[in-house]
Amino acid sequence: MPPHSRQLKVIEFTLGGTSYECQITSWNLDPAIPDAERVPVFCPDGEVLEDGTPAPTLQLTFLSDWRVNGISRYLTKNTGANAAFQLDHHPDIPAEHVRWTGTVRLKAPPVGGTPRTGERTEITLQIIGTPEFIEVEA
Amino acid sequence: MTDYFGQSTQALADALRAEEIRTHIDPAAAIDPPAAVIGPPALTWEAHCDEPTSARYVVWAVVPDNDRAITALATFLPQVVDAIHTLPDVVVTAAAPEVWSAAGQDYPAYAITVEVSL
Repeated sequence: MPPHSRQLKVIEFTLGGTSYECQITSWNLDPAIPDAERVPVFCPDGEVLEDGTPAPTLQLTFLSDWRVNGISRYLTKNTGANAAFQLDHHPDIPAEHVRWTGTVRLKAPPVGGTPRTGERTEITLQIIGTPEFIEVEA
Repeated sequence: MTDYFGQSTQALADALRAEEIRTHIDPAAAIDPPAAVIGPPALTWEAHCDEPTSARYVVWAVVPDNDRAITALATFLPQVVDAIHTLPDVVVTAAAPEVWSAAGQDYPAYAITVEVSL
């Protein structure tokens, strides 16, 4: 089976109903599923696997945008609120187009940086519950 | 038609001309120094869309080639930098002495590195 690889090139990302993919320079949706704990027991099976509780997160790096409808202002003004997100991965490749939807807890992003550099922001948002994975039909 | 850097180039030229600095945006143009020359920028794509997110220009501050060139550069360079700094989202990050060549002639110059958020 030959190798198969894709460039990270195109996503469609909405947060609270607004598209922000043109601000996103890096993203990482981590389901954060912990390894099950092995519990040895006194029976022929020998052990039990106890599943941990996932703590999924959505990590974003983006071009800061303090315009009225910009993502920086949106996160800052809505700290503590929940917002729906949708992230479409490889939307330009029908046979590989997948989607995650869910809800994140918003929080104000860190602000600042080095002079004479582009303003960038990194933030990790907690996903509430488990994000839904959808295989988008071609 | 998509324009990646035409607007930012024109904005730089307008800012320089507003300070009465003779400015060229065609690197092949025959210039009459002291003059600024704006070349095409290096572009960077960072986001998940088709447009570039930043541009790096080299703006040349060119003076006549004579025995007063150093003094002329010491005066002309700050004029060009100050004009560039009137624009929001545009910063000067470096300036290095160079030789500007045009129409078979060499001129003393500064190559000014300018970063622009698009």
